[in-house]
Amino acid sequence: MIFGSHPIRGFYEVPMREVGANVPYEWLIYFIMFIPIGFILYGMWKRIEVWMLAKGDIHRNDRVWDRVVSFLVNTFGQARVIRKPLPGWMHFFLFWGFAFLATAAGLDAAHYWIHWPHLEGNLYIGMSWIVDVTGFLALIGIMVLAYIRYIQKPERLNDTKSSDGWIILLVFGILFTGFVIEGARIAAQIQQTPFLEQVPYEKIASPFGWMFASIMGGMSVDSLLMWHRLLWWFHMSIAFLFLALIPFTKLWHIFAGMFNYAFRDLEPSANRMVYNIEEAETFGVENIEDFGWKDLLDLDACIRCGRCQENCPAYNTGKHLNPKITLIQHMKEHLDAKAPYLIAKKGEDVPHEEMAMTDEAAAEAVNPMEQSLLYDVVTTDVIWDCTNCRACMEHCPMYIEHIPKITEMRRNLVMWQGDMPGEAQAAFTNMERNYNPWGVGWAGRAGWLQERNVRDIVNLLPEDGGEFEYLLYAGCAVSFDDRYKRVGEALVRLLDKAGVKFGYLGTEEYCCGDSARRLGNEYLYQTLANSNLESFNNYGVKKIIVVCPHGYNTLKNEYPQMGGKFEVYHYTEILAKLIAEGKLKPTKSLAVNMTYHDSCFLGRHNNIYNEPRSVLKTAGGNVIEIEKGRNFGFCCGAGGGRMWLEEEAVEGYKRINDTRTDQLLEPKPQMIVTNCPFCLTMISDGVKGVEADVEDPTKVFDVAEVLWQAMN
Amino acid sequence: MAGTWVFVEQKDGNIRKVTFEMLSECKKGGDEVAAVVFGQGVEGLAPELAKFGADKVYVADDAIFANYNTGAYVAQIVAMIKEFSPNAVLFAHSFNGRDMASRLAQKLDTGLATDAVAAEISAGKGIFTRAIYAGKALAKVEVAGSPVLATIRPGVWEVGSTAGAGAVVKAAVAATAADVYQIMKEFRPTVSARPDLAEAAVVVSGGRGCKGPDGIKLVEQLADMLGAAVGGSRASIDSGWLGHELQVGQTGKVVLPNLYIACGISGAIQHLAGMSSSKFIAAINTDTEAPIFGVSDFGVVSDLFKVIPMLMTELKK
Amino acid sequence: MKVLVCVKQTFDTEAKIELKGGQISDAGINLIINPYDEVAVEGGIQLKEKGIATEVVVLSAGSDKAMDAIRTALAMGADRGILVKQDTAADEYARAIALAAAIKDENPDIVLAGHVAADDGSSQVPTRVAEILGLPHVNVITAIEIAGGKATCTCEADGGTSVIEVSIPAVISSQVSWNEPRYPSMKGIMAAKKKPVATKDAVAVANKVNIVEFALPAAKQAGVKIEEDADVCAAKLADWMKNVVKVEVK
Repeated sequence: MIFGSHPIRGFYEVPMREVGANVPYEWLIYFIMFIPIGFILYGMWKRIEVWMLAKGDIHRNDRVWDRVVSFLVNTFGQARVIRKPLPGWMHFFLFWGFAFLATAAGLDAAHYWIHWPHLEGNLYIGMSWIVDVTGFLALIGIMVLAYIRYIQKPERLNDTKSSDGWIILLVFGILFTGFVIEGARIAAQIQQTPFLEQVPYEKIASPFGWMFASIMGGMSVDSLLMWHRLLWWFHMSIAFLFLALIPFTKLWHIFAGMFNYAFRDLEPSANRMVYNIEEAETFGVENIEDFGWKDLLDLDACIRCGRCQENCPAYNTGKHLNPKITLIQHMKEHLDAKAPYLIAKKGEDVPHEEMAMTDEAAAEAVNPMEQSLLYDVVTTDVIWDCTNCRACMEHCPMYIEHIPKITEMRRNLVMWQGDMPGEAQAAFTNMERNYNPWGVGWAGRAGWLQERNVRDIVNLLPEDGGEFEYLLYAGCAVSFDDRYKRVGEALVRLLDKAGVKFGYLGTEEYCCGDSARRLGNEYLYQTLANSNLESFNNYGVKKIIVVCPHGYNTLKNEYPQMGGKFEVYHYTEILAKLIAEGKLKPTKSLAVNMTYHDSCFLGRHNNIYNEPRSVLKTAGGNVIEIEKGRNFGFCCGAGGGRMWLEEEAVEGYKRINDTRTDQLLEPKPQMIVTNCPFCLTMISDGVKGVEADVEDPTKVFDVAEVLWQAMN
Repeated sequence: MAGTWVFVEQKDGNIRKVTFEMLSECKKGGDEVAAVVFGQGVEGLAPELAKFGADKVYVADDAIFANYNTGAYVAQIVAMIKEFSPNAVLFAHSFNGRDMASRLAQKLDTGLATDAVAAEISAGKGIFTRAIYAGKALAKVEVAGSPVLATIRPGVWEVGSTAGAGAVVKAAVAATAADVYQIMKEFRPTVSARPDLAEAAVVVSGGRGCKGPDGIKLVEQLADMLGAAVGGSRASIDSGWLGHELQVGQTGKVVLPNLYIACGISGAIQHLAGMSSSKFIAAINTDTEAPIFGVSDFGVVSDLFKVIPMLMTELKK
Repeated sequence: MKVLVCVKQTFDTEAKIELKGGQISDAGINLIINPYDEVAVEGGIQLKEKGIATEVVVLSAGSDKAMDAIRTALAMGADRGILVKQDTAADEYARAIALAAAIKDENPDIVLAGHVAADDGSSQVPTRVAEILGLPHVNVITAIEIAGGKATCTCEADGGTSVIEVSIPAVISSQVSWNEPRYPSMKGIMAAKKKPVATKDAVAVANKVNIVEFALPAAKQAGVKIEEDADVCAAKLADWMKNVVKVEVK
């Protein structure tokens, strides 16, 4: 015994590692360990206290098994994280390395306190091997991540803080010293064993420890033992520091992330419902604490990886909105500054230096109680910039819900503050009075049937009242946009040709309300939705074909919140089905090269990527896949009600639609195809600008038109 | 009780065309037609008024009438109506005409048909046709009174060539400074500034087809010739050819003119939403497929750089 | 200072006008505040927000349905309402007498209204009201400043813009370009439910203008599209502009 510890022995009868050998007072660690555990518990409680400030109503206790699966797949499978391969897999290694290291350390502690389990023989070799290999992969992982952050410097990591570096260093330090200790121990064992053949099991149990041992082979036993002893304490100290820091640093994402995986939104893409709006006394979110607990949890889960930012059309065209920084992180900073006041139930008369949880917060010039979430923290520019394209939510490895937060803040601006862009006002008034955002007289809603000469093949329910299988919900664009009326014509001709029995509501059809809802006017949305639901009920509608993806998403995913019970299909789904059933056979192959624009509401919001492509292929279209396609599709700029707002191009950037048009024109297609009236307008406008001087500019068509072209 | 009076719309001695239209139309009837002109140094206008049918020209000439003001003008005409008892008094449906006629009608405790597009006047009674609901319906109304009062929409009647005697009758100045309750602080005549887009009777708009400031200059020249406002589609605003406040469409201004002339505008729905309720729409565009032709009353498939200069020459004829 | 705003309830400007039994049918028509009056309401509220006015009263003469117009104005921010019940067939004369009687009881410093109604398009009522009350008036304003018992208004005039000063109390009518009326928030709508609205009956007075008949204009002819040489196009277009549209060439 040296200073009360066991010496490292040359060999053991059975493969094992003697915990604490060569480390005097090693047993102290089993008492000290309660300090970091205490920190974690305390810190966790402080965060829970913050989440409990949330006043919003969010329920996430349904579908328990789906939540368990989401938790397991995303935590242990790191399913969303590895979608971005290099940093994703490195993080995967880091996660599993630490998971096993922590498990091994935990087993050691368990053995000390309850004398179980005994890690000996093959169990030791197996356990040691896993920890050694995953630990080494984690070591590689942290080095690659450091390389990415500091050498490669991708734009998405544009807010690197000194704490990011310290944490990388800490993680690296824990892993690296771990291997040095192991190497020193094995080297000491090798030098002391009389029976060399007894030690090599370590070569299997700790392949990378053996590697470190070989490097240290030249050192004397004494110095090996001294370094082992010193680094052991150092290793344990920084490991405990790491644990203690978890709730107080970005490391908190480990737990917040796990919670987020379990409590994420499992419902299809829908805005949150406001029940009993007639009796509501407040609307949307005015203060940070008006959000729901899951929203505040989201803020904790954000690890600032910037995948949202990287895919955000607003950010990429120079707007104020950056989902990472100007939305989530600004809200997080504000929450952390304001929470102490709210918890202590103290008002703004208390100097904020007194209440601040961090030095940064104390150094802030403003009292958070005097700050307005909407006007100072997030700002209205940011709130109105969002196109609801869902790229941030699609790519966030933490399932943070950005759009619902934006919507809640818009709701407050519109319904409570009465503060909105003038164009939004006009769109609301139009929807209110004429049930379409353009404000064309509602009485002319069915006029497109005559104009496009298809009245005789359409069962106009209020007049004809015949039987029908599907209701065709044409939407505002088919009704009023001269360009899109042609798409409506192509579609009804296709349905007629395939013998589909469909009915159409004409003037009894109203705007779906998507734009109103996403611009924050929940009241108007519900009024319009109720009018539609009443019409659907009157005619006993069971299946609906929707032309516009915005209507499709709204009817399919949002109307059920208001009691809608019917099957909803996008017309591209129906066309693909009719083709598969042999009811629609193109008479010729168009044989054209085309690029296809995935609309956000068909794509990311509803995962429909293949049906439109298969329809185009049937028509003889050669779809050239572009880099920003499918779930990486770049928005046209019109979602989230932005169709009705003016977009000012920022100096040095193009507008969103022009940016997207460039991407679609890049492979020099003969035509661009889309599936949404808003996209069609935005992209057509983009082409007019980009190809202003081109003799024969690239044509932009809708999927239905392309198929109809191949039928004639 | 005799004669139909036409209140003369003039500014600085320039008589507006609508005055001649009213005189000519009234001259078609058998009744005596009189022009009533208020102002300072306006007696010399009598021959011009006679040329278009004024049998008599009542002149109230005084410094108090130098600029239009409701109080003095109404006081004066009330006195003259008492003295001469006309059967009817017609005003132009202009800012001043309707302002004066309304105050006068109330002062006389009588009815008034404003913005009439047709008239049948008999003794003590007038039947007028008025466009209501922005021209989407017509109302035929009967106004009884002595005199019968109405304001007439400019441009609905032809200027004729039947002259009247044009005998000048100088009216005693009845208005006093006490009648003036509006003090004109400033008058900024419309010279370069065009009418407000939202209110203009004629709007000439330029779009992407204008290709640059040169094309917009043509649009502006045409607009000035028609006393029209200039507007633009988003393309021409974006390119910086026109100011932001001149954007017509969903995200710009909604206009309701009598005539909208779209030059080089294809007519995307976002633009149509701002102008498709115009009473008349003319379009000049090289693309025969352009949606603007779907809403236009008169479409010209041609190059605006050729058509606009020729159009201006034709209009001047 | 008290501001009173007169509002009229009219058909939505996009409404399709149809005749039923010789009368204009209101079936399925959405009713709105006359857009010109809406601007006047906004103007009144802005005067209050600037601290010039202390109270904004909104007044409407019409059927019970006009209560919606009053509520909308209250939701925008007016303080209280008065509904004078009157047959919607009242002409400008009867309407002005009804409004003036109610205004007299209120004794406001400024009476605001739109210069014209989008339905009958007659632009008489504000001026008539001023005459009945013996007040000065200014029509078609696009800006207003109030100081020292005087209102200085920028207004549209024939051939330009004039700046006219009147002493208050006065009746002032608005042009649409004066301001952008606000969209009422739910907060405003909820508050409006609690704001008082007085109801009274109109002074009984006979119309001076009687409707003989309503008619719909001849259906707009289908548009023509010509593809000819530029000079032919220009000549035909000029001809159409002169003879069909009847433009005035300066």
